Amino acid sequence: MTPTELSEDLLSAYLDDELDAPTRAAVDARLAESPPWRAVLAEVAAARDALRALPPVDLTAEQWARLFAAVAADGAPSPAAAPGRVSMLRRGLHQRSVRWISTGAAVAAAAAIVAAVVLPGQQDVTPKVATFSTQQSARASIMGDPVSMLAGVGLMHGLGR
Amino acid sequence: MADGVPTWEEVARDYGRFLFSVAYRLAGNADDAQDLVQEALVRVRRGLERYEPGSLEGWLARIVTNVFLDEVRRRRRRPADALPDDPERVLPPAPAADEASQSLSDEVQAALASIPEDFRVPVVLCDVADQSYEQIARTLSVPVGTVRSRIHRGRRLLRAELTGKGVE
Repeated sequence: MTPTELSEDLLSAYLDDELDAPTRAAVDARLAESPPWRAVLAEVAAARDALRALPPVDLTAEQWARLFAAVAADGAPSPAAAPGRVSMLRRGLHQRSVRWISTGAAVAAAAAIVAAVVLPGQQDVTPKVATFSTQQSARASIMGDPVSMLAGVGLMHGLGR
Repeated sequence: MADGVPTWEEVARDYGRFLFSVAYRLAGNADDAQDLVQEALVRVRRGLERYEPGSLEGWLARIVTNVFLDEVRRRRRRPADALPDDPERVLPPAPAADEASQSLSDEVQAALASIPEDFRVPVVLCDVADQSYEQIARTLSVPVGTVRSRIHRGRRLLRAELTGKGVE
C-alpha cells in the first residue's frame, strides 16, 4: 500500500494501534508529507482523548439495590413483598410501574451484591458477607425465615451514600 | 464460580459499574442506562450456561450493546411511542468530581449523544469499553474495516460537535 492509496479512515486505527506494521509505516510516511492528514489526526485524537477522559459514572446504593433486586426477582414464582423497578425494555412499553419482588431471598441476595459493589474492601470479614447472605437467603427461601428476610432488607436500606 | 463461569451475582458485583458506564455512554442518560443494565443482567443470568470463559468484559459489552440496539430498533418501529413523564425517571445525576468537570463532561456526553448510533456504538465500545476493533466487529457483526471507518467517522463527528464545526 503506497501512501497515496491510503484511506484517511486509517488514522483512528493508527491512534488505537490497530494497524499492522507495513500499514503503520505507510501512514507515518503520509503524515510526514501531509499537513491535512496531521490536522485530521489531531482532530480525532482530541475526540478520543475527550471521551477517554470522561469521569466514571455510577448509581447510588439505593438505585443499585433496586436494580439488583429486580434482576434477582426476574422469573421468580410468586408476588409478595417489596416494590422494585421494571425495565421498560422487557415490558415493551414506555411506562413504568411497580414491580413486585417475589421473595425475601431475592432482596437479600441483591443487598449482598450491593454491599460488595458500594463498599469495596468490606469483604475481608468472616463470615464473608456475600456468602453468609446467600446461605441465609437460601435457608430463608426454603424455611420462610422472616428474620433473615428482614436482615436483608435492613442491610439494603442501610447502604445509602 | 464453577469451571471459570461466574454466577450472575458475581458478574453484577464485579462488573456492574462497567456495564453502567457503557450503558450510560450509549444511552446518554442515567435512567435509560439503568434499564439497559437491568435487562443486560437479566440476559446474563439467563445466558450464563452458554458463556465460554474468555473476555468477560467483551461478552458483557456485547450483551449491553445488543440490548441498546434492540431498544433503538424498537423505538424506530414505534416513533410515536414517546416517553411519558414519570417520577421514577427523575433520578439524581451521576456524581462528578466538581462543577467544572461536570460541565465539560456534560458537553462531551451531549456531543456523543448527537452522533448517529451507527457511529456512536463503535466509538463507545472502543473508547469506553476498551474493546479491540476485532471484538467490536464480532459484537456488531460487521467487518473490521467497517468498524475502522465508523470509529474514525464517529470521532470526527464528535470533534465537530464539540468545536461547532461541520465535518467535510
